[in-house]
Amino acid sequence: MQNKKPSGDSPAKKVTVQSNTLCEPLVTRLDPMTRDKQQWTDHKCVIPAIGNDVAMTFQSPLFTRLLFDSTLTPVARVHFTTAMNQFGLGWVGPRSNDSAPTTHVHSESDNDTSPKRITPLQFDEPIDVEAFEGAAAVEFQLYGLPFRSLPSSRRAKWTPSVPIEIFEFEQLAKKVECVRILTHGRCVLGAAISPGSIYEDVRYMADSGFDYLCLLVDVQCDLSPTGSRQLATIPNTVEIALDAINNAGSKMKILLSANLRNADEMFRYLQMGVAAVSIDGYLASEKPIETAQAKDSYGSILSYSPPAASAFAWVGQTVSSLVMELSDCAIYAGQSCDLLRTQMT
Amino acid sequence: MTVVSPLESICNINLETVSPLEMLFAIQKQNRELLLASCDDADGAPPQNVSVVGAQGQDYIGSGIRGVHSITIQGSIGDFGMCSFGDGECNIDGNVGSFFGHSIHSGILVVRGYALHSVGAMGVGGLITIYGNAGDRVAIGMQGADVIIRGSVADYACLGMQSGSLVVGGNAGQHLGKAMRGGTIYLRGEAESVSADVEEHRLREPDRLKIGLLMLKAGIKITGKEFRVFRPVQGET
Repeated sequence: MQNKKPSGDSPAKKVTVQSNTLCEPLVTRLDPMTRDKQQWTDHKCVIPAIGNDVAMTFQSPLFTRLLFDSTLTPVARVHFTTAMNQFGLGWVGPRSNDSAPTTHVHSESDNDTSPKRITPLQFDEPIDVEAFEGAAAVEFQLYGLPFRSLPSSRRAKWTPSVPIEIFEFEQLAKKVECVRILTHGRCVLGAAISPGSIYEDVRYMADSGFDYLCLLVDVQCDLSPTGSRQLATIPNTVEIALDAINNAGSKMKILLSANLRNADEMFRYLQMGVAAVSIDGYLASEKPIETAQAKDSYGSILSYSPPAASAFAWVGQTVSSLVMELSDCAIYAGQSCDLLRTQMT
Repeated sequence: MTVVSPLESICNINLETVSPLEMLFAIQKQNRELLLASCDDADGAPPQNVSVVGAQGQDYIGSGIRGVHSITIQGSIGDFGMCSFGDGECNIDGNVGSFFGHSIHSGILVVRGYALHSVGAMGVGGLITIYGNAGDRVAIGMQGADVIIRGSVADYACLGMQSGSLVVGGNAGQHLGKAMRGGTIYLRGEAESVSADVEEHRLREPDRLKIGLLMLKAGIKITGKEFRVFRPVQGET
């Protein structure tokens, strides 16, 4: 009896059971009777637009601003974009131009019909309707020095500011509505603010009709561990912002751009109520040492030789491992990890 | 020509039977699609000429309109009218609200009435003509468009302008050219105060030609001989 040959479908059945077991939290694996009482949590980042049924959806509650805040070469931009689309992450950046390098590797993500791109609209920039095409969201960048061409310091760029033509409180809401009309209601509208007077600013953004708010607690100005600018402290900023949204009775979501270096920290802020967190600091800290330069290539004076595609393989691997770590955090917190692992299987 | 009445044709309501509250609701519901909906003919192609009767002072009229050859609007419009306009000509027989012609890319906008503040804000191309007076902050942050005000402008005209030109046939208010980084101001009358960021230049022949050309495009008969020229102070940031 012990040497009985198993039937044909038993190995597959055994693998399925094992896979499901691995995706279950530890408490369920120790006590299967609690499986029915388990509360499954949705980790997908869904940001609905106010007034219509449009929503921006990330498969993982992660996003990056590196393509906008830092100076990546076109080759690096292509590989970053591919990795973000492949793993269902949001990314802030302008629409890729036609002069993209020919070394672009075609992948399945190129056929992605649900764009994850967030188009930035700077505070002193005219509204460009063509830039909104194919974007999931339009994000007002509410920081900078108005009417000055030369900032007084490196931090001056991140001074909180409203669009330069806005001089009264209600005018921002009208501009938001105008952009919503120009996008024909197909885009979610958000604002990226540099925390100043956080409570008042968040209330103002909520009253102006934004769908989400990106808190720039830390910004990653280039792809190196030292390229981070700290603008505020994380826990305090998030707590005050969430408190302001609750008091305003708004459904505005919060995205957190902070220098979070591990999955535990990210999961902690997701648990606090943040819709998505940035991975910029994580990517900068995980960059391999052999390519750990501020930019992806120094090139030379006379010519520029773009780095090989293999030089950017670490991007996809890093994002993949981060999603796995975040899944494990969800498992140990007693939550479902299905949505986090969906893109991994 | 496609003639459109916003209350009857677009909103599909009968003015004789509808109540005032229902009429207001219909206007609010349809004002976003006011011009956009009217720009689709039965064959799907945008018409070359559109006429809107009774704009009722609604906001956002004509925002995002591109490629329509000629638009005529009878009545006043509200804020953010003709935002991001391009490739066409629009005549408005009435007054306009704030932020008229915001981010205009190209084309010609002609207003035969008055304008509130921030006309032509952030415009990158095209021509805006106001036959009456304009409020504060005309051409704020403009980046290449041309604005003609036949009457007078209020305070902070050309605030933070980077490129383009403003022609004022009347007087200007305080702080003319504040934080201006580029472009040119042509002023026919007097300014209450001129910012230290700009300095007066001598009117040269190219300036006269430019004023004459802009006036010709705007349909205003005037010569460029009596204007004063203000440009940013060189070396200032």
